[in-house]
Amino acid sequence: MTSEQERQRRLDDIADLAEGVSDEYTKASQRTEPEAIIAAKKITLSFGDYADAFDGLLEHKNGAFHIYGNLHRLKSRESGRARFTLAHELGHFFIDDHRRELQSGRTPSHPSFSDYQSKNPVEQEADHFASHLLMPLVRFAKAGKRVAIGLEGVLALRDTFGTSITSTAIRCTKLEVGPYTLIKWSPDDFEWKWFSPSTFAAGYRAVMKTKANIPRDSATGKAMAGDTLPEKGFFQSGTSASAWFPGIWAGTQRDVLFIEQAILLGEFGVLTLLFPEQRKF
Amino acid sequence: MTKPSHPANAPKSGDTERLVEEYLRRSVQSIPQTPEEVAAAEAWIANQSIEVPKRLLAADPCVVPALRPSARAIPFPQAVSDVGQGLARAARDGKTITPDVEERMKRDREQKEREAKGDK
Repeated sequence: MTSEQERQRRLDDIADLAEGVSDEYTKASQRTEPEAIIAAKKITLSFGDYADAFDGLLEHKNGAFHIYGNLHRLKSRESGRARFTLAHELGHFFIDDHRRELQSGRTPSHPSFSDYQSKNPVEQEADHFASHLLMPLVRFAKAGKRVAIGLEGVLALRDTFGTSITSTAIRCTKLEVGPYTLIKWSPDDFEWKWFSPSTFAAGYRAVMKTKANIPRDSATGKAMAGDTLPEKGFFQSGTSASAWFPGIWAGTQRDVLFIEQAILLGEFGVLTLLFPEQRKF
Repeated sequence: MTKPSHPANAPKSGDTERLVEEYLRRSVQSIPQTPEEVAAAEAWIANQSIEVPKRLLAADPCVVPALRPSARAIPFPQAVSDVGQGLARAARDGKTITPDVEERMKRDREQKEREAKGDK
């Protein structure tokens, strides 16, 4: 087994674990409540203003766990970001290797690893756990079939599952709720991209990453400029594949029309969602 | 073609089984079946010095392989700070914790732990 296959198997195991936990603690409603799971596991929890130190933090001391939620960053304990952060910390608790490391005291007592945090496999695993805990595959895929395509559907699913726009959009893209290309822009520059399986299979695999090339009157340009938000909650414009995918030449058969939607994520930047006007490749 | 010759000292047919049994009994490799054989086996074992392989001296590899940390475990990133007093943390988007924030965290945790014990 290659290291990539082994890594995927580990992520699959973590997804199964998270979905099992979600099923166990989510009875009547579709929404998983991380705070209820934290209470059931007898983990104490405090929300406070902890300046810019972290979003959330799981601490093991004297044989007991405690979770801190930082309202300075999370704004409200009911926000999608707060719920995802708590679910992320629960990932560190439920994933055996993470919990053992914390219990052993071998982990740093100081969380000063923000520089490479997003690439840190441990943090990625906790994010993976959180995503599956809050948006379990079967329930999410079933709900995804009942919503409109694009950001309208993403926002509806966000409300149903109580998650953040970004995490919901990623889940929609990975699960092929639509033939999506998802691009995240930080306030300064391109941050990351994600393709749905059908988009990737159709050969649309590279995106334009230069912020300066985004037309001011496009949906993304308007969101970046902070224009007045339309009533539906996001900007929308028509575009072409060649405008966004460098590998597609203008005027060729694959240069199909795309719908471009964008939403401002406050201080975190802008999210762009692209899908073919025909809704399929 | 000439028939292969039979060694002169080879056991005759039927003798082989008896000779093997005799050897096993003398070297206490067969299961003792009579009181005399049991007594002989016990006397033989008492005089033997059987060393347990070092890898089996600890019960861990034989009894609890499934409970040991997976070889695929991914270590937490190491930070510069100390690891002391049984304190360990995993932060989401963590940055420097200033002393006043550290103090606030300590206070908040103690308060919540008191509440959990029913001592407000």
